Amino acid sequence: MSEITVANIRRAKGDLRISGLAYMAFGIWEILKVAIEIGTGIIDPFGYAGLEQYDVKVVFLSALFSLFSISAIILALHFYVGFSSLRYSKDPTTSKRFLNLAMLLVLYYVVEIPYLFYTMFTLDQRVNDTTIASIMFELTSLFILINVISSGRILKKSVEKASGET
Amino acid sequence: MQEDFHYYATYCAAYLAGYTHDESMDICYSAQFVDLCTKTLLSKLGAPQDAATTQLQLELADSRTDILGLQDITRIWASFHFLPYDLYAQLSRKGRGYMNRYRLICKPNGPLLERTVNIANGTSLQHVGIAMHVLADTWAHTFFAGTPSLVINNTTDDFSEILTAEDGSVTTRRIRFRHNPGAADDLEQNLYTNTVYQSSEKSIMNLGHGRAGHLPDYSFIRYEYLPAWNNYESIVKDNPADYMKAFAQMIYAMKFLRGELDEFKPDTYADDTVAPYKERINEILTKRQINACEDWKKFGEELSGQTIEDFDLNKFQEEYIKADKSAKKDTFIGKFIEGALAQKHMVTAEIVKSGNVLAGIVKFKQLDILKEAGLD
Repeated sequence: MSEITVANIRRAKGDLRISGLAYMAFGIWEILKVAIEIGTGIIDPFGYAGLEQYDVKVVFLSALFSLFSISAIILALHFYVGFSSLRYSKDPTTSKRFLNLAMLLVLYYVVEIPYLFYTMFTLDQRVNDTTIASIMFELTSLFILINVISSGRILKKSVEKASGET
Repeated sequence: MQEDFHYYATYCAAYLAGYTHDESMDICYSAQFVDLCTKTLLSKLGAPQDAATTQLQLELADSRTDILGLQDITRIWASFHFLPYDLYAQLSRKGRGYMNRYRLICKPNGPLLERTVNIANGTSLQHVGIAMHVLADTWAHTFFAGTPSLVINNTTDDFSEILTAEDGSVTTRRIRFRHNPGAADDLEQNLYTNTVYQSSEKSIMNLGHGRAGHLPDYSFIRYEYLPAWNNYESIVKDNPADYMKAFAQMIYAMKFLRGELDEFKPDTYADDTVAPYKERINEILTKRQINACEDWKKFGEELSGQTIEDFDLNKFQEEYIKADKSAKKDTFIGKFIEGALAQKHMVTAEIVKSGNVLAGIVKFKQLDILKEAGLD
């Protein structure tokens, strides 16, 4: 195995590990953000459920449950991609299915980020600090996912090359 | 390197180069003194603090981390312990800030080593000792830089000791680190102390070989590790081989400084002189121990038939303190100070000349001193 191949494997493993951890951290932040927004009243659960405020508590709780279910799915996606990156960085023989999901998520961000710009400049008609922060956050998430996909591919190719060299 | 090599091994090298016992004692004392001549000590002696050749941990902890503080640190460590190899090294796609640090990486046999030995020529034994300290450290401290820099001096935790069995088979054993400066390194458990990881680029924790602990200073160890600057490629350090080369090169350099040879050329070694003692020296270098002082001392005393005094930091202090102002430069420490200033100014001037600002600016007065000595 040439030193350059070994170096590439090390680099790809390191990038995957850090990107995986970062993506999981971003997932946790997504959930925290929702919880903070509900707690401070920025998000109205009734508004999400299309309900009037005088509806019964059970409906209110259902609305909350829906909101958190969606959040849990988002968190699960982040953790699946993140944990799989970590696992793949330790053992490149494990499944690479997470890369397919990562590509789908990239597509999601590619659509979502322009939409955020659209909402800022067209719907709101003003530059909103929160939206700018969201855009930056989403752009970073996109970068992390691209790094996961790229490092995953480099690691796969380097490992195959290393097997061919030995 | 530590006292076993800077003091006792330097004595042995000086004696083998042809110096007398007393001359060898002066040389080896000066070589070891480089590791102890701090601003605190110089302040106590009433000596110029600019001549400091090292810094205590407390001094480092207290030092400024702005550009002036960093330049002060770099001047000391790059001049005496991590002599830069190539101040004009080129790398593609690297910014100026990175290159300033990369160019301070220490390796043996660079142009600055030649200048270090040449400016010691025709001067005092103390200056010879300083030059020998710098020379020896270029071998031990290879691949680290004498400036606080995460991107150069950081390493991963992947250190492996390379062990060769009696039958010639090679195995590796993982080296573990802990951050307990109060605890001695445990050679049996392969447990060593290193500095804590600090993500700040200019943190003191990223000065020199702190991240590798004392591994570069142990003559017996061969190890593999990943430095930050080498693009994920690992480095293998063979300390026994490097220390042997350092010893042979010191003898060669001191033969030149004694006047036995006409010039000093890098990458040249007094192998003929070392040959009769090579096995004995190899035994000392490869013996698995934290401190080889006793073995080097015994070897030195066998060579010269004289007793080598243990190093005493206070030995020459009273002489310097009691001397008149005009007579101080003729004392032992006075001569050491002259040598230290010349070395520091030479290295700083060379770093500045290369366009690197990390060592600061050489004062005009100091440049004149170098010009007068024909050393600019």
